[in-house]
Amino acid sequence: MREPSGYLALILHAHLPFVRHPEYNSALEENWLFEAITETYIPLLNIFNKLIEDGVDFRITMSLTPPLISMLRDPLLQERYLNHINKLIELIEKEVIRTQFEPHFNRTAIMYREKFYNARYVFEEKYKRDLVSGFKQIQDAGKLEIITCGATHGFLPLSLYREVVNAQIKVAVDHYIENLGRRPRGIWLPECGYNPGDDEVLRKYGIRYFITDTHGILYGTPRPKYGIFSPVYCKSRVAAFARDMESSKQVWSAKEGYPGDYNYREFYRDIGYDLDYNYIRPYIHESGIRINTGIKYYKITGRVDLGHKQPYDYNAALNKAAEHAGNFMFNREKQVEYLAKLMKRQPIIVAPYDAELFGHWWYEGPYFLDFLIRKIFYDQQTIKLITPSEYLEKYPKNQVLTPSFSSWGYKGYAEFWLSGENDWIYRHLHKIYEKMIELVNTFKYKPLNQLQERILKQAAREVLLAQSSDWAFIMKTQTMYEYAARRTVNHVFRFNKLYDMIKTANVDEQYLARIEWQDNIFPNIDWTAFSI
Amino acid sequence: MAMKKIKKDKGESDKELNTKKQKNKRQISAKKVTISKKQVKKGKTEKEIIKETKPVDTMEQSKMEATKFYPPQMDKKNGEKIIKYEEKKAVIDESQIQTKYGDNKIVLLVRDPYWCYAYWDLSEELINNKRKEIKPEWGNYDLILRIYDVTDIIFNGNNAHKFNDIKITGDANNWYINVWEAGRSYITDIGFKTADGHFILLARSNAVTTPRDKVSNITDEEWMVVDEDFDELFRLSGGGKFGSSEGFRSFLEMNLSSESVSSFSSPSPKPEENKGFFLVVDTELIVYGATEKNAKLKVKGEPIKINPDGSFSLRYHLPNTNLIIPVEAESNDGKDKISIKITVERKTE
Repeated sequence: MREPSGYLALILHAHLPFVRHPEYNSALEENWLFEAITETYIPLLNIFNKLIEDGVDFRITMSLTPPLISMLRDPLLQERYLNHINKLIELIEKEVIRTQFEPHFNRTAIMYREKFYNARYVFEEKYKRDLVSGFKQIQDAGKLEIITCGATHGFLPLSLYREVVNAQIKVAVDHYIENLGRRPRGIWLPECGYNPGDDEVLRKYGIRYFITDTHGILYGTPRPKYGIFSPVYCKSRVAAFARDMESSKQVWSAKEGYPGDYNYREFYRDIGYDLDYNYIRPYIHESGIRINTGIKYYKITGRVDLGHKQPYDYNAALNKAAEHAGNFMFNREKQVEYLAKLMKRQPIIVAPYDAELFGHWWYEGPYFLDFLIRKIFYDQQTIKLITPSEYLEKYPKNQVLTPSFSSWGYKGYAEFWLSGENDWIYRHLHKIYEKMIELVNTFKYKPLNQLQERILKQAAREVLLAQSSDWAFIMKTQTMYEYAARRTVNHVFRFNKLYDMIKTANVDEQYLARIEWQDNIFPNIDWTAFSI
Repeated sequence: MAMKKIKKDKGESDKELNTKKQKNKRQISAKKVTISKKQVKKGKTEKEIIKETKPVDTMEQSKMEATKFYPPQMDKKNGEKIIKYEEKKAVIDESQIQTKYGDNKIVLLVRDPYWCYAYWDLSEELINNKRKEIKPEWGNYDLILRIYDVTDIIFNGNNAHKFNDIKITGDANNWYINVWEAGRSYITDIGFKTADGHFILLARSNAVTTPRDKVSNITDEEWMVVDEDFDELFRLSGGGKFGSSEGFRSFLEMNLSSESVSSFSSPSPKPEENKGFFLVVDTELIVYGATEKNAKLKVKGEPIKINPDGSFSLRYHLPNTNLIIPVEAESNDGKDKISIKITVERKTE
């Protein structure tokens, strides 16, 4: 096979905030995880495994964030997912009967039935509830590169203190090693939030590369000779790769991008809202509030309101996904052919997406990826899939520049996380960062009893959990404002209580035990990570 | 109440989407011509590569991302409902936190190339004390933010390139500040300004630098090769297989700074399958040292890259064997040469 003219790096950022709530029988937010498991993580695992089985060589890069790995490996959530999928199976069995005289719905119900049974098999039997081991196997097979992220997806540019950036990175790297048995080579900076100098921290923990948004490199100093079609090195010797806008837009845009195609499944029409209350009651939230079940029978149809959507046709939608994969590949070939003429090397197109976009929002997304990977392997020789580390091995010599402060959020900077809806959090967050740094300085070299160590560890967990960029994000979108605000306040409160406990030596052990049980992320946390 | 809020926002976002649609239409037509245009063009410069980049609608992306955290939609049949969870355990009220810390601090954050955000927290005590410093003849006074352009200078309070005063109104404890220029550094003071121009400082912020908003004019190129084996390098730093590595790192640092060449054993990861009693011992050898920055160094006959400060270190897995490791250094001008031979033996009895 001849050398390709250029490379494509597909990067999927898989992340959910830590939404484990043992204190409730059923928390709505845990469904975010359960839906992502059924609609995104399991379909991706199935696709990767099938590709390997079929001898299709491919490369894909995925960030599995520490909160996501923690939740996927948490026994309580595993148990709850199993209940969740069992309930779904119960419901879909009823649905197959209910729709038997409506073939246009019945075929979709049967499709779901197959998928739900498969999800249960993959989850319970194949991976013994541990999906992370599934991803690890694909990494070990050399097809997938799993990268890390901030410990709790904290938006680094608003951290104020380098010690806090250090903690986000150090705890994440430790957690990666614990779970995946080796060091992470790369990192997905939360929200692609980069502030010059943060790369020094990455360097310290052996991270070889990170991803920025386009303007992170484009507006870097000095000017990037190859634009964003080649990585650059920061002065710290850590490489930065930037997102390609053209390939991004084709997927990310709901209107002009692929996911808006009329044949694809409509996200907002769900039987959790559509069907008779008494019939659906056992399958919605225990409080009786209607929620999405994941069973949706309609397609986007066109610019019509939800009441006028037409029945979904899975096979037609899959055909569309194949067509779109062909289009995406064609565009990348053209792009690469053109770029290769301008550059003295093979260009790299970096195409990062939210992993949950594939399957959860864009139901056919995982199959789009499957088609794309197969087409790239069988149908052409212009582009080849690559991971960022492989590209760096191929081209170890790169331009040195300082990337610009940037994020991949709205308008490209910090506005989404710093606006009228959420700016009130920073005075509290910065205060607990200060106090945590103070605790490290005070206690790092002191002999500690077990109780003190437990308090310090839990305090570090609370700081990190408060820092998740998801809370500010949700406040800004106003989707679940109360929940996000409560989470921020709760973690600040808990930290302050722990801080007082250790400072006054007046320990409420029962309280400590309760929040250890509740916020049980990072059992082996290095609480001294809040230092430089 | 919660649900009402969502409803209202949904309406707003629909509207926003509509205006986005108009914009996107333009982008589509622009996209269609790009490919053909590319092929016609002959003059290929780096500028063109840079031009390749077109903006994505990040608001749309955020909206899509937000579906990960979807709220329950309105329930038409059962009216509005707010979810009340049944808690398993009685807990203390964790919903109240201090609103004011009184730590006499002002913090500046960067929002984007043109906007910074400042919040402050001043104690009554400070405010009252500072008020006393104001002499009646100075006239009325206002609370102001004084924002300074401190790009490339060490700020001492009066050497800024320029500054601007912003009058704070109401009981505000935070402010969005429109700054002059992208890619510049700023500091803000908060204080009282009197009618005749006296300024009484209450607190001074940290310095921030706003991002650039365009492609750099600096075209000097510097290239670098990073071909070191990172995994190896960070195993050297005490990382790699040693999960939580603090203790091991300091041990390694101690060893690296001591005089002797030492080989040492390190714990291997615990085999997961084997639940019984076990002992695994492994040995590794570190060869390290320093020479002149521009010297040529060979270890076991192989040229070795030395660090910019002249130091070097190499790490070997140490099997049961006799190892002879010759280390040779040659000065840049070739006049001086030193060689040291190390012999190491490992035997498992």
